[in-house]
Amino acid sequence: MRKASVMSMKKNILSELLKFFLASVAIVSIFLFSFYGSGIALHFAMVGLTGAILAQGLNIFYGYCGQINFGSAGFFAIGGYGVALLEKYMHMPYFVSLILSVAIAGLIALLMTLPLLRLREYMLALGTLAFGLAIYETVSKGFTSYTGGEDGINMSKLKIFGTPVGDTFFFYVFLIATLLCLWVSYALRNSRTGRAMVSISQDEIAATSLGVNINKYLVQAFVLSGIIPALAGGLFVKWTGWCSPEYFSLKNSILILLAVVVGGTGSGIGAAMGGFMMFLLQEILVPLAIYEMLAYGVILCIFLLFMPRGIKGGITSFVKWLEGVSGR
Amino acid sequence: MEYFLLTLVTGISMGCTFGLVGLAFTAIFNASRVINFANGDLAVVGAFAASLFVFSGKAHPVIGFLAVLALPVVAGLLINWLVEPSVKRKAPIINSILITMGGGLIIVGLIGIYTNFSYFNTGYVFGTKPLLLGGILRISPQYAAILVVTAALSLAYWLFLNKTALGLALRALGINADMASLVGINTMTYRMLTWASSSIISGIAGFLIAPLIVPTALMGLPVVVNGFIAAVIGGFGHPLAAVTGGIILGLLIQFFSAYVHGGMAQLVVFPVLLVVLVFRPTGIWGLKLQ
Repeated sequence: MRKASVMSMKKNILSELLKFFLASVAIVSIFLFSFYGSGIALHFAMVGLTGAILAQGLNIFYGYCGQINFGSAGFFAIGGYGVALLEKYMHMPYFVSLILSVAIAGLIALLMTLPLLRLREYMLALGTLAFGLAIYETVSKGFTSYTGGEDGINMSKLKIFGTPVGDTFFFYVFLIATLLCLWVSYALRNSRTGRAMVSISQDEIAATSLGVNINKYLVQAFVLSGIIPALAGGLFVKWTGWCSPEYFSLKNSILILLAVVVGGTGSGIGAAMGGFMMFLLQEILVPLAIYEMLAYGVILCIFLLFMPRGIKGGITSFVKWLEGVSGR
Repeated sequence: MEYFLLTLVTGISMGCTFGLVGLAFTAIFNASRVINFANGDLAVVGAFAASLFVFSGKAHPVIGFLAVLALPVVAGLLINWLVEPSVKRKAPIINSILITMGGGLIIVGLIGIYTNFSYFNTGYVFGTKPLLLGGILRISPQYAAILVVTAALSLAYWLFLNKTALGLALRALGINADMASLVGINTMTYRMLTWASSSIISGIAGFLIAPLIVPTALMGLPVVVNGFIAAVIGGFGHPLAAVTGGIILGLLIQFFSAYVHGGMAQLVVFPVLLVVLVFRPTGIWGLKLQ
């Protein structure tokens, strides 16, 4: 009995030390990076962070609740175009338009739950896919006199107290947004709501019989997985200064889904890692764009067949193995 | 009047190609409860094989047409091989959907590398001289071929599923794979058979659609979405549903883009799909899903 508790203490100390070490390395490297990182490195980092935010949004609906959603890029577009249109036609300050467009995305997500959440499995996949496609068609071909069609909308540079801000400022904004989303998904996972969501992913009938109101939790999850990509969209288009429909094509919905699978389904930090890596990979692969599709297909199949828990699952089992070795 | 008729014929023909892809969905779904998101990519394989062996005119037409049938089968069996483990261990349906998607991305990626993601060669193997039907209706031979092939294939599939012992076995496999294997149905072989036949249907759809659109390696996605929507509108699972739904969808898209707004045709599909999904999720033919 006593021996067991000593051993578990030892394990705890080890994994806490590991976590502390990783966290401090991350913080120090972020500071060094934001001061000494060159322009292109900052650019890559911000694309990666956008991916991390997007993947966490999907993770709440797909990872926690186990429901498929191919419409993430649609909400990404609503956030981006919301900011761009509010700036172009209403001349709103940036942060007001950001909050407003995120709220609009939440409202649209809430309305979309009325038809979409009657569906499950492949029908839900089709419904959300059609939603994403409809948004993409609207902004790229529909109301071209407002959205500029394939040319997109040019945005002004962000100014704070009259001085234009550079990439470093945006880097911190992206970082704070990512950490905020991470905190949301972490707090959610360890709350009553999050546990109810996970129970839905495991067995809907069993969850209902335990008094979980499935519909309520799915609505909450879907709205969250609409708001978070919209936030990413609002930040992303202002940073690039150009709101173009090509960011919001269906390919990105698939990429976000791929990111969650690669990072680790059902884990906030895993999804963030997956999103960061996949979007970074996409940005690095631009000169090799011809091999992109093949790479995505191979990655998706390898992870689904051999590593269904993703990178996060792999790290967790590695840490467990490490603890087992040191405990002996 | 002529414009109206032209729109009508175009709509029905485009709808038939959606219907063919929807039929390919239905065939796999009925036998293994897997939704094959790579169906559009198998259609790309069909169009690609046609551009290499038929439209280029380098091979004998018979060999060329056999290649159009054979290459999608190879691709389809590859995806089946990838998805078989998760079907066997009854993994969540999302897994098998994503794996078919991954397989499709691999196939499209390979074709894209070969063709540099540019357009495939196409041609009109059925000629270009319009057929005159009933004195007023001009119909291009390509459209006529689409209509005839779709009617023949969907009828053949219906007869096969309902009137043959093999079809009965496939239906049993779809309803309960464990029971089917208990009564002596070799589930793996039969699934492979289904995938092969479904791939042939997709490949033919790609071959027929290729001259009407600008085919690239990336054309699979719109094809697969429209095919799936067609199958859902018709009523998922029923052999004739896909074609019914496809024709409705094709007419809707063509008439909307001809008379209302050219660019937003795909937009009108979404509300219609939502209405069908909400008020009649079993589709027009109203088959109860297992």
